[in-house]
Amino acid sequence: MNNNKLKFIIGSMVIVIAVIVLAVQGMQEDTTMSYSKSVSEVQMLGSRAQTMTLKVNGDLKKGSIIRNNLDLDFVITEGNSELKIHYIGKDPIPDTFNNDMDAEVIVSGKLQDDGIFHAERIQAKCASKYEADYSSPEV
Amino acid sequence: MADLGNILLFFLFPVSVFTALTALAAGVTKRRGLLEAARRGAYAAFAVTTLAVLSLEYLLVTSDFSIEYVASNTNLALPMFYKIVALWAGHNGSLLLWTWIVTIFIAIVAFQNRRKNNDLMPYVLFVIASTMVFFSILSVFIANPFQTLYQDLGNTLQEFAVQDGRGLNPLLQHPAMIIHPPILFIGYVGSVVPFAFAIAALITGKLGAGWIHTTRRWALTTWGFLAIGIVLGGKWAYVELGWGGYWAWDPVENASLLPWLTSTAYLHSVMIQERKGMLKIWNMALVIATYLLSIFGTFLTRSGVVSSVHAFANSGLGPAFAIFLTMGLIFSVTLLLYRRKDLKPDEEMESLVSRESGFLFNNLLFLLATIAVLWGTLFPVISELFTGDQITVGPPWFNNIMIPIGLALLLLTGAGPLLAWRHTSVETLKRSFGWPILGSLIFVIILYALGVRDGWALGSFAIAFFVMWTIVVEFVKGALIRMKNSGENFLIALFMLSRKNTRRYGGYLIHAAIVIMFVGFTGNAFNSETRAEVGEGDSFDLGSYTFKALSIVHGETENYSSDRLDMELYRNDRFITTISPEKRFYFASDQPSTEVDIYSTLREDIYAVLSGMSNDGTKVIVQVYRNPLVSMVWIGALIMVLGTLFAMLPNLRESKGGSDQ
Amino acid sequence: MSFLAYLTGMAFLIWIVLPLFKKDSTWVSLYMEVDELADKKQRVYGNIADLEFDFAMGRLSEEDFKRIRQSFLSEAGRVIERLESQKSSAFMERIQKDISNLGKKQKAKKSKKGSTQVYCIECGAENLPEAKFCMKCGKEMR
Repeated sequence: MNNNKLKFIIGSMVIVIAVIVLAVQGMQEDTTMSYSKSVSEVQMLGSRAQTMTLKVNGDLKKGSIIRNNLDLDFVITEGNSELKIHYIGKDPIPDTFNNDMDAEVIVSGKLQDDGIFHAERIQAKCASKYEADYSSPEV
Repeated sequence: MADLGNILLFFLFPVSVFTALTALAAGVTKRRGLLEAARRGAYAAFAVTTLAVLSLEYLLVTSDFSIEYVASNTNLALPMFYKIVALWAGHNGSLLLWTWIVTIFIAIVAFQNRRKNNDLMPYVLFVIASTMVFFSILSVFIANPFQTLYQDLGNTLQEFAVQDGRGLNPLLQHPAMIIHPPILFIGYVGSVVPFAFAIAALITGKLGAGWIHTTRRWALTTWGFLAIGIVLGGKWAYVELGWGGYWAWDPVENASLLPWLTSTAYLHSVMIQERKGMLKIWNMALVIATYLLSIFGTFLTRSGVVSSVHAFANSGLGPAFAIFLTMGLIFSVTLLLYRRKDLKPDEEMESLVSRESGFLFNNLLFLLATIAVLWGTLFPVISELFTGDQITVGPPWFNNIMIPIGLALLLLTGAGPLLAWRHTSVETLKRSFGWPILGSLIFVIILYALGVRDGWALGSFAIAFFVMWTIVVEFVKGALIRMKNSGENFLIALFMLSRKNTRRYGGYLIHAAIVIMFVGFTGNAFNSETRAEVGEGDSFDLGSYTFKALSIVHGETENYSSDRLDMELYRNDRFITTISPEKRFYFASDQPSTEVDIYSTLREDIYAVLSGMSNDGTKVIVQVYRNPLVSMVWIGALIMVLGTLFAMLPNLRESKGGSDQ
Repeated sequence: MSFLAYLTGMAFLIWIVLPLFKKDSTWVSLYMEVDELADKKQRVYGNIADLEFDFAMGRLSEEDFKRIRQSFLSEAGRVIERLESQKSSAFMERIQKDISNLGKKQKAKKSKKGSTQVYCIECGAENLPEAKFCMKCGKEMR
């Protein structure tokens, strides 16, 4: 191995290690990592749920949306489990988000001591709309 | 018409198989007849798919709601233009578009090479036709766009038509969305051509520069389309999704970025192979990776493996794609290993400070970027496999890695071209780098004095300034030298200089475009936003801007109803414009949609979103963003298109003789 | 109407499979060695052009320029020398083969004039021995 090759390998290693460090460091910060859970799974986690950022998906409970000025509260369900959500994020709420809609919702944020989930992001899924099934005729 | 379309589409499958098999046989036997048959098979595949696409268009335009695809994606009130482009609005139709582009490309390749590359062509046709076989299986048997609607009557199935369709997804009713999918698809599909030639070279052992020369334009074109497709996707997200940004490291965005990263790496590293005969295996690997990542991107969009705002609903194509990808990967890697002895480098690296080493580090960075994006995108899947928890990594993680990598690459963009091939001495280094570095330092000090404090942003602006300087110097110095030799005036010299080496100067133009785009990206560091609930007459501030709500207007068209907030925008108390974000409700699809309003200047965008109505309807919630320098991203993209086009022009030859051809 | 469509479809199908039944010829592969050397020649020329450009732009010192240029020139010399010898030996081989084939061919095609055919290295087409350029693809005959 000549001197040149060695220099290259050292240079490359420095870059590779730097990137790996960045990657690992990023993985340590809990704000960047969110655990995907369903409503019932969150309840099973108990107090451990408060330590991590969660992405919870469930169905929007019809008629549960309460708007008060800029505040927004609602409930998502999965079977018999319910989870109260308080929206603290800044981004606009998705279009599909209203009281009349059957929407599947994904909220990301953290569970608080009082059992209310503080969501920073809300994503509403309405996928069934576009790959709609036409099982019954509409004529 | 549906029957005709279905029959035509059905024919694609045997035709593709025929093409693949005759091409393979032609490769083994070297018989002209077989190759000609394969070529005609390619033309036939193009013909039947084109006719199938036309039939689907006919059904869409005439609103035949007995066809599920038509009923799901259009409605009677939809403007004709959107009916036509609904071809790629839904899953099955866009898959047909994908397949159609493959057949267009195989026909072009077959025609272009009808009298040359006889040794490579059988395998080239074989590889593309195999891709075609795969997509025809999907289009015909799994995701057929000609599927009729039927109802279950106990023991029989009866076809029926609905009165009106569900309409086009309002999110897709935007000009950028109309051209975005075809352009991105061309970029994706285009990667099959260099891939096919690379595989053909590996099979035949003709590993010289031949396949690279033949595919140079293809590689550049598809790279360009991919880039434009990605930017248009960002533009669409910015204008249509209404969260104030254009890039969120969403899985589908990442999927389109991945093949772009590897193909950019290839466009650079191929120059080392041309000049030094090195990195032969690596270039092959990049071409293969680009193709596989393109297929992977299509897979990611359609399989429901990871959830995304851009993705189609889960379509059940996952397993088929997984099998195809695995087969492709095993096949190519095996071939590559089999030929590894013939792909030995001709020369060795000479110096750490040289153009080729610049390219080498550029490639290393692109590789790391690709791996990082791939890792982040697939982390939910990987983590579920190993820990049982599905863990998503958010945009901060991507930014944390990609900003440093991006800046390092940007730095190389400026530094690389200043280095000579083989060896650059310290003294010349000082000469070429001295002024640009000093200039960018002064630039940073000025920025700091003006109040820019963000470290990353300062670094980014400094590098951007440095790179821009070097690019301008390249053009000016080159033109001056030419002036001296030829006696032309400066502008003519500049023109002739770049026309004589379009790849080099087109490349510099693209570099300049990238710099401008980076300036736009850096603007993100200074974003600000606010949210307010306003009634008529209320006002609120964002920085030096004041918004005055004038009125809330309700309107209705046959396609949708809308609520609009008209606001006056003041900057330092001077009236600038009115800005009117809107919320629509589309009747056919039963879907609300947000129409943002953007006041855009070179300096910054003011971006307003109507995010909701208060319960009594007298007040609305409005969100405004101040996004500095966003325009730079779109301007940069435009210059990138020009640079790519320029790089594809053939070099101008002067009648001096002694050229290197 | 549908009859017409059928007819068109059938005609199309026949057109596709027709070449399969043609009396067939095979093509000949390139000489790889020559190919490789031609690549190398191309590369050295490109390198010299780049080197001169880099020097003109002031990216390398005169000393480096002279040294590297010299090494390129001698490399170019070597490549061209080998290329010429390869070409002529490939050419000789070809002629040898043709001469040995001559007897058979003359029996088969008595009428054909100018019996020593030369084949284009690029596309494999037959050409007259005195041809400077291939009559099919226009490539210079080696």
